[in-house]
Amino acid sequence: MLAISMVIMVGKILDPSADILIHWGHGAAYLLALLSGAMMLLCVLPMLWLFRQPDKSLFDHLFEQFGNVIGSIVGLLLLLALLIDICTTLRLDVHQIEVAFLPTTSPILIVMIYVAAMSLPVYFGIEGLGRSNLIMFVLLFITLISLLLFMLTRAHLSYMPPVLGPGLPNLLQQGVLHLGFFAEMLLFFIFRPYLRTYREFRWSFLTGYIASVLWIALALFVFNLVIPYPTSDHLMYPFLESAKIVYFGRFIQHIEAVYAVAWVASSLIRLNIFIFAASLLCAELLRTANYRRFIAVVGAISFYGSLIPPSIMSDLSFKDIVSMQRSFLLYVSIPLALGLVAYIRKWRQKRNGKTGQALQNQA
Amino acid sequence: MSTVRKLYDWIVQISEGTPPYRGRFSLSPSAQGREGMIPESAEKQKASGQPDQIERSTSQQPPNVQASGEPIQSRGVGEKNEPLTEQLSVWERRRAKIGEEGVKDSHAVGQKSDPADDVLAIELTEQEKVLRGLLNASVNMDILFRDHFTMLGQRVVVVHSSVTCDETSLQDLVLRPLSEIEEPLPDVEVLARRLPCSDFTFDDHPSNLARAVITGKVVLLIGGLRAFICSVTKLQSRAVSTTMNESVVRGPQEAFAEKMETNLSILRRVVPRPDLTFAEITLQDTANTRICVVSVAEYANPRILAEVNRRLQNIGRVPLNASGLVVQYIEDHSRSLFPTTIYTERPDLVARYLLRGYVSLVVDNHSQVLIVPATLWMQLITAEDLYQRVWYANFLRIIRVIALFVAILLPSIYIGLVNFQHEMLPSPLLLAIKASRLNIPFPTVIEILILDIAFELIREASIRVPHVIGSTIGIVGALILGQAAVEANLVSPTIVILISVTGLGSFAIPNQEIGFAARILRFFFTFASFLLGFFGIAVFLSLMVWYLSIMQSFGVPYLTPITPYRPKEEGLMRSSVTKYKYFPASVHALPTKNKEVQLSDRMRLKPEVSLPGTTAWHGDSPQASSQGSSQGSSATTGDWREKLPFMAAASAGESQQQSTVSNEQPVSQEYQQSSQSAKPWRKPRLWRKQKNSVKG
Repeated sequence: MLAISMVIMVGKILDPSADILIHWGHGAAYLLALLSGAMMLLCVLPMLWLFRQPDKSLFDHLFEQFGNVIGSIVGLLLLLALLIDICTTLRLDVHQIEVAFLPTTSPILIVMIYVAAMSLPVYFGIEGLGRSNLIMFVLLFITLISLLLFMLTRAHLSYMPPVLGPGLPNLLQQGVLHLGFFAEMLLFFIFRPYLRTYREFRWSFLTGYIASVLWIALALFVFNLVIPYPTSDHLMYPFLESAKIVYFGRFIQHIEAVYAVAWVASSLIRLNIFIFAASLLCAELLRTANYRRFIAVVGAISFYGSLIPPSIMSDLSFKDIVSMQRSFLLYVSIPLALGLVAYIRKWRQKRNGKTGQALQNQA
Repeated sequence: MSTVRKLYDWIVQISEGTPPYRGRFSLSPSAQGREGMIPESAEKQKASGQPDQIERSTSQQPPNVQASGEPIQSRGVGEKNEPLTEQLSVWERRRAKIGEEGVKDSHAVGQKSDPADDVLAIELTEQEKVLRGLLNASVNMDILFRDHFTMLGQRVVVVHSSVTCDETSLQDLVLRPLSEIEEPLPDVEVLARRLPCSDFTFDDHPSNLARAVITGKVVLLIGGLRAFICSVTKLQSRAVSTTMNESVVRGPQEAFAEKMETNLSILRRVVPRPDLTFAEITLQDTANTRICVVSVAEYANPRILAEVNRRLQNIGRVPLNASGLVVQYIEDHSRSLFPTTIYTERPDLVARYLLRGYVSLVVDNHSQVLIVPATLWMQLITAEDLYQRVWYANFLRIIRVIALFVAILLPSIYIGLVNFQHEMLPSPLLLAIKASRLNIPFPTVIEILILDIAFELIREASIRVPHVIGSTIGIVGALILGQAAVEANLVSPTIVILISVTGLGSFAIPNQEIGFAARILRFFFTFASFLLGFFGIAVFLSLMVWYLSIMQSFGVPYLTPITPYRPKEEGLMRSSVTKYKYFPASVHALPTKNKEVQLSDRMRLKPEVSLPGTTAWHGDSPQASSQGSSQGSSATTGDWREKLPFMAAASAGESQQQSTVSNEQPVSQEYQQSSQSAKPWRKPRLWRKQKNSVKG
């Protein structure tokens, strides 16, 4: 599960969505990542204790604490956010694939292949996904580490200042607005029933999340050292651009396609897990145990949804404005409200229990 | 209309049917409908607490004997396809194993008892019973207990192994003279004087008698304090033949033969253990093929054994000679490109795996032995690896992995580079490649296919023709055909080099079946790259990794120990021989009584299960361990298991278990607290506390 969470989170740095942090964080995109990550973690921590129960996922808690009506509305909102995220991520990935591999091929064909490759493994369940995810996790980190090491040879400290980018108040504000960048961590709470103990869950969640945020920050930091701010804001594909500058003499150059192969493999498994989670959410919303009947539907929605944005700019803007800036209240309020309601209920039950006991004693 | 109905049914089936992936020890998707499934009555029986029919049939009696009641085989499509049994705890498995042996006293194999108890009983019936238990006589097909009578009608039990004894010598030296004895036999010394044996001994330890039987000696029991042991050994050895397909520089050179008894005799010699079990099954094919399921009772997982037996039993009637087809009937993914079993002709390789908890199948009239379960990495291991220094072995393994990737991917990478990613090639190289292709009329993919198919033709031809001209065909293919194709402008020289290297890569793969898989996959990757370039390769590679991840072999995930990650198991890399301390946890071999392996493999008993002797089974208490090892007979007998720390702990646990079983003590509170509070992957706190106190 640790590998799954890290692939989901760290994979973001390899697709064009990293541009959002670079755009708002200027030269201090890494600080923006740290701030957003920390704030998202703070929002989620109050509901962490709820997941001591091994067989209950986020949706079960939503239904239990908020009731069936509010629970299903909140669940639907989360499902919608996830579907939007899948569509935008898929389209961003397809853009990157077009640039890296198939500039003349129709994006519809690429999306079709991608959706088929995303949906088929989901049908066979989380075991296969988890295992292949472990291999992709290793591949992803080899890719990332080697890329960062190669990039360091081109780093200049003079590209760093101003260290705080647009300034601390601005960073804090954008940190709050962009905490949705790390909202995929909520998927982890959906997968809770697949873990045996709360201790395992808590450890893998915290370790995976913190490590992912640190990795993202490190990658952005190195990227900033290699490509300074105004220039980096104009690059649509930071990962590909970074891979392009790797140079080892005449024979090893322009090896971005090799890196992109590794990235495609990890990106596919990441989207597999998204599709799996979306199908699971559909099943939980409709209170059925069989998630497989929703895979085709989620795949179709992803296919059509990813074809809507006409260009990478509109896709990035949509992701930035709708998925993050206008949805941050959703990501902040749901975990906090869930934790709070659950705590109040528990407190009231405790008090009622005590009062009942006192009445019994008096009697 | 029916087509629409079929389509509708198919959609309902894929969305609402049973999940295609099933957990451990469940039927694989591709095996659906071919294998037997548990009838509902058996499930009801199981729910009511009665033992599973399959378990009974495989554990308490020879597998070829059908248990009474309903037949196991049932091929109904709509029936439930549940996992066979729930996961057994270590304690339950141990109990099951002792049950298998049919002896619940201290003489059972693997139970180390006090040396004073390891003495032959006086009564003949009791002697026979103990020896039957030690030799797994109810299951072992080669162990024979024969009653013979002297002229005076005194009963003598003759015990021997049919595959390690010389039957002629047995007749001449023991059986015939025995039936001619005309005087009473008060003890074995009188018997020895009456038999014309020159190499004989007396012994009063049942374990020694069991060892004598499996090493080819005949044991005569007449009651009394001792038994008579006479040597009539005839073990099959080197004269059999040398290996043809798996030749090595270092290590044994002998190979299995076609006759099953010969192969079993070789195994008896290579694995000289009393608990090496041969269970025979006769298939219902046209030739009534005999199969022997070989396992080491001490190490083999009873569940894997039960699964093997179940699959063999459920082959059913076959209108063919099934001698070489067994693997296709019982493997998990029969339609897959990747093999999930290993065929070998090397006894040392079989012995190595048997002693690590795997199960082997010896098929009559077949010179290769099957090993199950098998992972992907096992397919890349050769018998020689363990005989080499660790560096050499690992170097060769890396070369084999590179060879596998080269065999699968090299042509597709070339197509991707030339057709899609020109920028990756330096200009001089790109120009050279383009220049060499100037006069070629075909696209790159056709060039590659022409040479690839020609290469496959050469390979197939060189196998089929007599060996004398086989090398000639190689030379013709490599030199003349390649050169002529280049001169005729059919292919470019670069492609010739490329396909040659690819061919070398496929030759370097040690397992022939994986080699086949690589050869076929190469075509898929070539087409994927031709259509979509590196993107096609990436997508196809991801799907391949995912497919390998969902595969399993007899319940063991195919990519073990890489994923699921089991760092202590031997995977791609070999560790130093001094690090071979753990048995593969993925096989759940019985030595996983070791606490640490249990923890890493999540096999630990839950504390709330208050089974008698739970504390001792885990060996949690250091006092228990020390006490156990001082009590145990293994130290006095010089058992090799004592040399390994985890096995010592296990033996200690066993000894302690015997004492606690009789006392029926509940699980200690301290243990429960430590188990509940400790992380599953950490040592229980009890250990750490006492370690600290010792330090202090």
